[in-house]
Amino acid sequence: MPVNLPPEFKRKIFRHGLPRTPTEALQVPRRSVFWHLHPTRIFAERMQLRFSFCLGGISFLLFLVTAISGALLMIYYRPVVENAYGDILDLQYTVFLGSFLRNLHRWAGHGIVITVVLHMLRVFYTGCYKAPREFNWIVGVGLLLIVCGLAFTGYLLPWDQISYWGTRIGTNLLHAVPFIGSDGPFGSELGLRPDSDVAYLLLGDADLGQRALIRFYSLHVFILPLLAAILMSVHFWRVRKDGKLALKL
Amino acid sequence: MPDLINGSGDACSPSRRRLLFNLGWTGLGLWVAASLVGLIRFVWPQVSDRPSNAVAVGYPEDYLPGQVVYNQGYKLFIIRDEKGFVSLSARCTHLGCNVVWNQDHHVFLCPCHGGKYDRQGRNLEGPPPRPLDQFAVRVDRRGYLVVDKDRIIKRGPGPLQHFHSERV
Repeated sequence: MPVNLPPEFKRKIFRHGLPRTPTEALQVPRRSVFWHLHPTRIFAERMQLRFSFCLGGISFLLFLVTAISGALLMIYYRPVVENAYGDILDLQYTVFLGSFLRNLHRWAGHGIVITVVLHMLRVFYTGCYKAPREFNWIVGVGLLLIVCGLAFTGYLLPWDQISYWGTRIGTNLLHAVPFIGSDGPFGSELGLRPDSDVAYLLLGDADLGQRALIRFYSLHVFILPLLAAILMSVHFWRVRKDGKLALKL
Repeated sequence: MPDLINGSGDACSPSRRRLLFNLGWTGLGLWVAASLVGLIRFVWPQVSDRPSNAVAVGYPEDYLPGQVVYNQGYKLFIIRDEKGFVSLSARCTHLGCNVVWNQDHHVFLCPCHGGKYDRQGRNLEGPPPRPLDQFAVRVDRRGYLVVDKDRIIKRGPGPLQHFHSERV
């Protein structure tokens, strides 16, 4: 199906046509915004699936799935104590495809935690954290912590019994952290009280309530995904630039 | 190694290549179209926080056959005749004044500009452009007569649609 657009119109959208020669193909990563994270040249024998199992790529795909389904769920969900649980029930039982999108978001979220951990194990056991890729390991640890943060903050949002008490236990653990928790080592020596330690900072209140819900919501839908996107860009770029992709064992 | 850029494979004939190309794009197009339909249906409002405008106006037995009763609070009439129940809005269809029931002449009169409606709510004289609005009526589980002011029954110049209660 040839589309007969005037050539100058096409040129305004696509600055360059499809590559016709191997030399032009090599220039694609330099010329396109979507391809510029991609290396100019990859060795086919290092791209074998059994070297990496594409676990990082699967994690990224699942991240895209959660981002899109989560953006759609945001249309109906309100992070207000009076409405949150009711909105979840509306999504589950009334909204067209609501339960599908909610389950998609949930399972993709669970999947990210699983694939990210498997990815970390794969990198560890193949020694891919070694020079020249030490820094990318550190970026990956940051991404792992962000994934845990996303899973933890998302867990509270339905505001039902299990999410409320689960988050209550999780945030109570913060009281026992040394130096920054009121019950932890050096906490009382530093004069920390339950209403002046790190749990208070996270929840915005001494108790789990509206302040905590809105904080977890903004963390879950904006702050943590933004940080994850920034770190992921660095992570992917460093994978390519540091080179020596998935060396054979 | 085959030329990946120009795609000159020998195993696939041009017509088969064309068919597979068209099938692939058709499938992708169908998937995108189905996703768009699903997206629009997802976004389409199915839930509302607006409080219901359905109001209880007592028991059906409270109204005698042949009566036209004005409900001051909800600005509507409850009419019971031998066919059943009817609820009419008291809002004049001309400029929105409250009409009053004249029992002597069996007409609804509008005090503002002299609009006149018959017992069925049909406009007889004066400026009103159409009959009085008719509300949906039902009996709920507790036995109350309920007028749903959100559900205005579209009516032409013909007779009213009556609500028949099994209890009465």
